[in-house]
Order: sequence, then structure tokens, then C-alpha cells
Amino acid sequence: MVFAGIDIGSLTGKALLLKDNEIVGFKVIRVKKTPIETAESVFEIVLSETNINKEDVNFIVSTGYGRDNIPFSNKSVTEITCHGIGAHFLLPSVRTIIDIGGQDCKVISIDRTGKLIDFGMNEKCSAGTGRYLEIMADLLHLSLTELGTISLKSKAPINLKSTCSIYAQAEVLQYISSGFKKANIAAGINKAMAERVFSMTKRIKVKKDIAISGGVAKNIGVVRYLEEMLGERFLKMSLDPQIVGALGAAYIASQRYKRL
Amino acid sequence: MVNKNYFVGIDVGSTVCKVVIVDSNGEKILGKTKILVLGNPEKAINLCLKELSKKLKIKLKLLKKTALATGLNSDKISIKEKESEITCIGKGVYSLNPQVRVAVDIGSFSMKALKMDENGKIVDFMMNNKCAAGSGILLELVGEGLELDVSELADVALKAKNPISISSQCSIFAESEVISYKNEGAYLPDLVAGVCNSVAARAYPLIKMIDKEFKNVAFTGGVAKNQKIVQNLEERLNFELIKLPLDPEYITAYGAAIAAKERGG
Repeated sequence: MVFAGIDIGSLTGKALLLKDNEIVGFKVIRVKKTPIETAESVFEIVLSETNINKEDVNFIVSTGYGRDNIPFSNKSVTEITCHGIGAHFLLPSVRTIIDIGGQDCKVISIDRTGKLIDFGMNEKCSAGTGRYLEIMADLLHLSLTELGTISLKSKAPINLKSTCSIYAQAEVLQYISSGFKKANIAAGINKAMAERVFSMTKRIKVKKDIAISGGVAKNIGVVRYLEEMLGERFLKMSLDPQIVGALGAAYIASQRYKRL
Repeated sequence: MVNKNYFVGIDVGSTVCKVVIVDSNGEKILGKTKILVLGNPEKAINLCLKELSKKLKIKLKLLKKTALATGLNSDKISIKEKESEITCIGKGVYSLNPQVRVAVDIGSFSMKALKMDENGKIVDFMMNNKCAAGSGILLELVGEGLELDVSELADVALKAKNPISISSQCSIFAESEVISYKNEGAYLPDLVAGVCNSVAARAYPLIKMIDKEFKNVAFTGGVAKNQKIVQNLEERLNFELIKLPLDPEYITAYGAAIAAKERGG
């Protein structure tokens, strides 16, 4: 029995295959021109990499901002639900998931079974989302991961006054042209990002254990600052943190199929 | 003694530096110019002043002596006389038309609204300088994304048949939304009109919040040059905005020159 989860985000498309409750393959790609194109492309890649035929996939669940209108998907489920289920599948003790995607940030509270209890979400403002870090990484000519690692060397992080991504971008440019060290600028950016996400966690009851998912989890600088602010360490994920939504979708697919 | 035959107003914003020189009464504009700031406000004002110094045959030093500066970057330049943007907008608008009671100003990065009494005294103001939504930067980002110059946007938008509604508030998300629509093959004028309407949609509540009743409203700042935004804002307000006899981008600089006259004259 093979089940697929397809998570079409704003910046990346993810696909994951579950076979007999084991992850057999997953793939992350940059988005194409349309969500449908992204979905088709990432699905085909993961199928060919795992040597599985499309016809052998029993049920497909799509999620993410582009989840609707995907012609080959059997069902679409919100990313909130999928992230909860995905995190629970990987780490059953998790009760809070902080998911920072390309264009949103979610704090999700789940029970012992992975069921959703409460959530908070920002999808209106780019500050505190992956987009913020992407803009900043571009300014510093660094990758998202490098933006994290370089910031660990900082002894004096800059202090960004603006919340708005556009204002902060102008501030960062000013710091760059004034000759501040990349490490200090990167640390200031990660700190501002973490502060923004931390302010969201205040609206939700944050219970242990906590996990972080989404692409931003790959930025060690943001992760460290958030841990400091929350006073808790995040549980380590054994998998690419970007794939949690797709994993949840694939698991939901397997459950749905049983009920058919 | 400082020569008092002219006064210089400098509005050095986040993106563009504008300079206006008025005569001793503050009535006649002797010269005006603008240049991109490009991260160096001091250089920008010097270039503007040099150009006007040459044109008006007044020594640069003398121009600087009667100058007053305002704008986001005015704390980074050597001109000592300063005034707030709100005050300068008020003075500029009131000097051009004393009937105006409410002014809304949209620049590259911020949106402001102010209310004046019949003497031009500012009685209330509001400012959004925390979030760039609905400000000129959105037009710049969209222009880049659609490969159009900001000055072309209004003309393109005026050809729209069914403007597309832009759902994102954040300018950065709005840019992505616009590019997605473009990729899906949206009719360009409809798309650009949607963006212009979204700017007007942000300006409208600011005007209503500052005053529900007054109809003597002027629209200033670089964004006010966009006729599609003007048109859509008028539709929302259900009355016409007051047209001022000066390019809206220069009104704050003009107000700064008036402020310089009031201080030095």
C-alpha cells in the first residue's frame, strides 16, 4: 500500500511517499509557475526516485496553500491539520509545533493523538515568515542555512528597530553599507525573526514537547534564539523539517484509505 | 546677513530627494528639482542644490543658509534647520489652497493623514510608519515584477475592464500575488488596476478616521501622481479631491520652503 502527501507551499513544493507506514521517499522543489505544475513535477520526481508507478499509489492527499485544484489529488486537507499529524507521526510526545513556512507562520497545539487543539497563524504580514529571511539572506548573499550558521559567530548582534520586512530591509542595507560584520547583521536578523515568532506563541498555550518544522527550522540561528526565548529546547526531528506537512498528508491518506 | 529673497525647502525622503525654492513672499516657486537618494542623502541634496544654484545663479552656500529640511532622511544631512513632515505637508497644502482641511500623503514607505483648521493649524494627524502596506514601495515592487516603470502604471491601469482584487495586505505578499496572476495569464491592465485600487483601499480608511465630514481633501506625495489611484480614491470617497497647482510629489518640499520663510523672514 502506497500513500502520497503533496504539500504545495508558496515557495516550495513537497511530496512524500508512505509504504506500509514507512517513509520510502520525499522531495522538495522550488515552486513552478502554477501550483498544479509544481504538484505534478514534485510528484513525478519522487515517483521516479523511488521507482514507484503512479498507478500503485492508493490515495493522495494534498495540502498547503496551493492544495486545491490539483487534478490527481484525492482529497485536500488544511496544512494546520497536516502539520499536527506529521509532527505526531515523527515525534509522538510533541504537543506544540511551530511551523514557519515561506509565507506564513503557525503555532499548532495538538493532543496525545495528534489531534488539533488550537492554533495561531500569521499569513497577512511577511515579517516572521520565511520570506523575511529569504529577503535578508539575499541582501547578505547567503543561503538560508548559512544565514543561520554565520550568526552563531556573532558577539554583537545588530538591533533592528522595524518589524515590517520592507523597513527592516532598508535598515539592513544601511548596516551593510556602514560596514558592519555579516555575522552581527545575520544574528540581528535571526533575533528579530525569532522575536516575531515568539510573540505569536504567546497567544497559544505552549506545552512541552515543542518541535519546529518548515523551511526556517533549517536556520540554526533562529532556532537557537527561539529556544532561548521559550526557555525550552526543541525536539530534534529525524527528517527534513520542511517535509512534515507532506508527511501528515500522506498519513492522513493512509487513514482515509482504510475507511473507504 | 542672510539674503532673504528666496527660501529653500528640502524633502529628503526614503527614496527621492525633492527641493523647492520659493521667493521672499513664499508665493512664487523659483525652481524645483528632484533626484533619487540611493542611500546617500547628503549627496542627493548637494546634487539638487547645485543644479538649482546654477539655474538660478545663486551661490550654493547661500542656498544652504536659507534651507530647511524635512523627510525620513533629514536627520542624516548637514542642513541644520528642520521641521516635521506633518507640519511641512500642512504648510504646503494650506499655502496652495487654504480651503483644504484634510491632507493624505502617501510616500514610498509611509502613509499619513492630517487635519487642519481654517488657519492652517494642524489639529490632528495619523501616520502609518510601522508597515509598508499600501505605500509607494508596493507600486515599485509591482512595477519591477511586471517590468513596467512606476510612471506607466496609471496609464496601463486606466485601460482595465475588470480590475483583479488583490487579497494580500503586506506589500511583499502582494508582489508575489501579482506575479502569480501574471503567470496565470491575467490581463495586465486589470492586474495593475487591482494594485492601484488596493492602495486607494488603504488610504480611504485613514481619511475617514481623521475626519468623517470634511470634503476638502487633498492627496499629496509621489503616489498621488498615479491618476488611477486618485480616481479610485474619489470613487470610494464619493467626492472629488481638491487639485493643487503643484506636482503632488513636491508639496512637502514646498511646505518646507514656506517653513523656512516663516523662520527666517
